[in-house]
Amino acid sequence: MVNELPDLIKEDQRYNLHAHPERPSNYNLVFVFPNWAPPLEVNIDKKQILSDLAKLGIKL
Amino acid sequence: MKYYHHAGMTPTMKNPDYMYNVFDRTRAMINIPQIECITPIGQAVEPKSLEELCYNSAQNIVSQAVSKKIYVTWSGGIDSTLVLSELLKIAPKSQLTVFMDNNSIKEYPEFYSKYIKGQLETRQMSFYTDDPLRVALKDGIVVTGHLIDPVFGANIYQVLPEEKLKQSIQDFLTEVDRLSFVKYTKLINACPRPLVNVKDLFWWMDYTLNYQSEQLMWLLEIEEMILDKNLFHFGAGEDWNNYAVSTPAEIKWPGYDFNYYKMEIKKHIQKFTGDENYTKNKLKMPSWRKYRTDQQRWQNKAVWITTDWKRGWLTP
Repeated sequence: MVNELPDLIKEDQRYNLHAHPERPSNYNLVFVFPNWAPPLEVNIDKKQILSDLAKLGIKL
Repeated sequence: MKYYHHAGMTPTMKNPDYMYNVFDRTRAMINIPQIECITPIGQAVEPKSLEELCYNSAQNIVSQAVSKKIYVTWSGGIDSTLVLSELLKIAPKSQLTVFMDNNSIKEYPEFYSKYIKGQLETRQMSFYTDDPLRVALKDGIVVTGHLIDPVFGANIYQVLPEEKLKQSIQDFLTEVDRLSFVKYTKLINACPRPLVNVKDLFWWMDYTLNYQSEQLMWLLEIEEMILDKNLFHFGAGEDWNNYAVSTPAEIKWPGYDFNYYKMEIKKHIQKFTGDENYTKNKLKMPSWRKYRTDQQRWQNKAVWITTDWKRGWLTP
């Protein structure tokens, strides 16, 4: 697939894909633990994820 | 079990910068004992010159490749142009293949015309699929310009105003909440040299917290890839890390005009190309675009990588 610029612009508009940084409104540190959870729109069974993580000794 | 990456243990930073799978290489602010640090942070020493670093990286890559093809991912940006320039100095052209797309040409058409077109084999880079990279691994090694970014600065530079970048660390810390003050202080104190201002601080944050995640890019998706066996990041290793820590931000980015960002690299490229216009006017561009949605990327990413490079995947 040829990554033509107009295609990329369309993709950006459709999915908001361009990974540019945004200017923060303040400089307080915000971390979210853990980061394993998939985006909500992904159809992955949460029980399955918890089970897989439990096999690793990780309880959430 | 020890990991280089585990999505269930590493946090996302949501403010002031956005970083996935944060791993604090200093362990001073966030310590995740289960995660191994692949490359330790550098030390405050007399660093090697940029010329030496580039020459050594190119030599190492060529010697590791032996007779295999060397696939260079070229976006047309500053870092990947440096990589290709350095490899062109010592590797036979027949051994080099350039992974690129039309945007690479748009970003640096003169370099394409002078050094690539009709002279080097090219392959179509596609950020929509990893298949071209998988094919490349069958007869070659892949080389990227990765890890030069966290040596020199941070993407967030582009959106921070000059008055914030030049603010002293002391003044910066008076404006954050108590918990952030404690966390920042731990991280700042872990730097082997004193950080002088916010420009320096945001380099340090990217360098310590984002480095390993960037190092593992593609390794999360392509099981056949092993770091420093068939995937090489040009800015990797102890000497580049010592350079990162020992070189003041004012050398990496003199002043606050973005034209001067990575000026030392641009001047080094100019010695090869003779292209003064590029040195004066080339701006840092974000070459890494999210060509796939988070949903698509999540489905293809390993959830963990162990220290013997086994990947763990979640299946829907």
